[in-house]
Amino acid sequence: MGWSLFKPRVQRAPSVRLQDGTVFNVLAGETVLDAALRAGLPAPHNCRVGACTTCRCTLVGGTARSLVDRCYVLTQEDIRSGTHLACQMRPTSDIEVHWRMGGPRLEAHTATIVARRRLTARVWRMSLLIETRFAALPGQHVEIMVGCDGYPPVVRPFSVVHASTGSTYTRLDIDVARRDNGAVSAWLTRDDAVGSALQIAGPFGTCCAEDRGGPLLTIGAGSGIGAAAGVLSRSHATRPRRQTMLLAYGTRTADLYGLEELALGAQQAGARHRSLAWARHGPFDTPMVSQGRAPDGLLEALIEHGTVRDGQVLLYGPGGFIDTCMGALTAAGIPPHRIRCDRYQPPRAGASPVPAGHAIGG
Amino acid sequence: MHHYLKHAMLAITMPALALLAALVPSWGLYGTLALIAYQVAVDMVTPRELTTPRYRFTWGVDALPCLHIPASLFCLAMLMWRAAPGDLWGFGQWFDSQWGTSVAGQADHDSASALVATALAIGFVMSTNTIAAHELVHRTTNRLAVVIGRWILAMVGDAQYAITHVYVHHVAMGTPRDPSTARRGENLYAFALRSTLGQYRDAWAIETRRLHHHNRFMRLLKNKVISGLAMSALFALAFHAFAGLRGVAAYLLVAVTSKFLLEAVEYIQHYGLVRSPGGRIETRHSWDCTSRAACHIMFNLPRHAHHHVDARAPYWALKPSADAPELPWGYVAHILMAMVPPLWQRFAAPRLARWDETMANAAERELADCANRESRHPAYAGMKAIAEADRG
Repeated sequence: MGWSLFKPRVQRAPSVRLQDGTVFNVLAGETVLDAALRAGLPAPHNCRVGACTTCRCTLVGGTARSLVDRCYVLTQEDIRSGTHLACQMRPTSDIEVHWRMGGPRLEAHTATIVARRRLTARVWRMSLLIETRFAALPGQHVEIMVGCDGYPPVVRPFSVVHASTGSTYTRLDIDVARRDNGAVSAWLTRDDAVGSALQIAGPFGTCCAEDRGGPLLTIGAGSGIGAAAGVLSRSHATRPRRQTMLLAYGTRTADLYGLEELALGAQQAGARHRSLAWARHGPFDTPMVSQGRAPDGLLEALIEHGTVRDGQVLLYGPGGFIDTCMGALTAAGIPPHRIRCDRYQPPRAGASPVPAGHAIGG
Repeated sequence: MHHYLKHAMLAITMPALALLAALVPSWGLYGTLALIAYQVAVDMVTPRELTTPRYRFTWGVDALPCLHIPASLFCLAMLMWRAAPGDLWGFGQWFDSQWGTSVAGQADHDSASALVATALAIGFVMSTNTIAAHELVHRTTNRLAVVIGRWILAMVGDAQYAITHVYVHHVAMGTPRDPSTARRGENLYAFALRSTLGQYRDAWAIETRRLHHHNRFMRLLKNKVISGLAMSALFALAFHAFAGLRGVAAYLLVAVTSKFLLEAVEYIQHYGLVRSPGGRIETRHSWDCTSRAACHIMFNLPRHAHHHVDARAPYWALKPSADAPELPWGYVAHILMAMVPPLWQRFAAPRLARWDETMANAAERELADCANRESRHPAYAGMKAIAEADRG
């Protein structure tokens, strides 16, 4: 390449340090995104002209200049807090950047929202179509990254409710609890969400049914009812002779969902199943729950179900609820290796990208 | 050397055709037809342009789009001369004295039809302004390139394109959010109107959002839609000063002709293709064209699939994409076909059916089915059957 009218000159190669300690250098004429890709990092990107914001990152140390006017795609608050677009970012010193890499643990796939169904006042069931075989089981979780059309790229985990796999595709159902200011949950559940694409990675976690015998008890609270029911639904289809029970907890009666559908599936499969549901339980993270009082009916259900003697318990719900149940289950004599749980943590306010850990509801 | 010159043809043909159209308007129209015929002929008799030369002196090809500034100024000056009463600047006499002709000095400056012919011919060649400017406004990392690009666009009255093309089209291409993606069943004329209005609406929204933290005065002062229109208004004022309202009308005709031809280009570049909103931009989302004449004259813009996948790649580094849907002939041939909507639909429907079957992913197939239904056009009602017949 010869001399060019339009190529600014940079004489040195400043380093970029990511939050996980990864360091790479930015050569003359490169942007931070160019350098990250050259270094083999799975840096999220799409348009590369500073328009789509997929490569959004936050400068936390050092100085850098933006090659474009960031006002076109970022808010003043974002710009003040150091948000940059990596594809248009050139360091002027060694810098430190918070930048969530796309799918470092597993390859991210493109999924498309193909259906949206409202289950309760705040929970929607979203069906996603992935153009590949995606071996997820109900109860595991997937990480969903959205970063399109004006929304910042953020990652949130969601439990798998149903998964059906064809020869070249996978259809996943997830339950999304919409939060008032949730970047992902609001985007996923918006009226015109069907047809939208997102990035999905996973599956992660082992909070799913083992194939060994013994009764299976799942406990779900809030939007965790979907995953708890989904695990049982698969059990009914694959091992109809296995005894199952669902305990569902909602703040109000209207927050309970999916029970009739599960019962119908169990009846058709000839499975031995029972669902128990409690409403008017109070918010799951109130001191009453977190101070150790077992949720209504849990101990009675354990005794009746026979899970105390042998069997597996799976829990899905908010952290306070899970803690309370775990205390009660341990006190009832169920060994820890037979209990698996998925704690739903709300995303930290203003946290983007979200640190690793299971948060649901975006 | 040929590789350096092949993209420079416009720098010569633009002023040459403008001169011809100003001196003898009817010849200007013939010249326009000859240029169209040249492109069609080259496309028919020469093999596909598949080479991507490595340039040693990139500055040579880098600077070529900037030649549109002097070339366009000359075109506008010629139009002004034709529109003005009398022999503006004594150009006609000077020309005749230099070349021994008597054509320029006797030009009938009162003839409206002659002025329309001149404006149409100049509008035709100046429609390439957007293509040169397109290359420059994509260099968002270089302020000078963007400023030059905006002035080249302002000469044809469309400076807002610098905003919407980068911040809307390149993000939302193939989705309903992008006004510059033609829908299935939509004819060129309806598309040109919808796209133009949509671009101005989006550009205004982007500028309003970008400047919302400024006070009202600064919001107006820094608004690039307003400044772009003001830049075009400067040219209109110059026409008014030298050629009166006739001049302004002629300038507007150039702007409209140029914009329509740009929309025709956009029409064929993404016609009927669909993409999931927010999904990754792939080569299959643009119609690629390897026509030799179009690639040379239009700064490789027909290698459109590569351009959308990596918009930072300079025009000389763009490559043809083997896995993109391909337009069989050159841009000019397709634009001519698009001007006759029934012909275009007959051409496009089976190709889109093949795209749906062989290139689209499952989600895009669903979107395509939806687009077919929404087109309410008979050509798309039985697309599955056409595709199956093709396969059979």
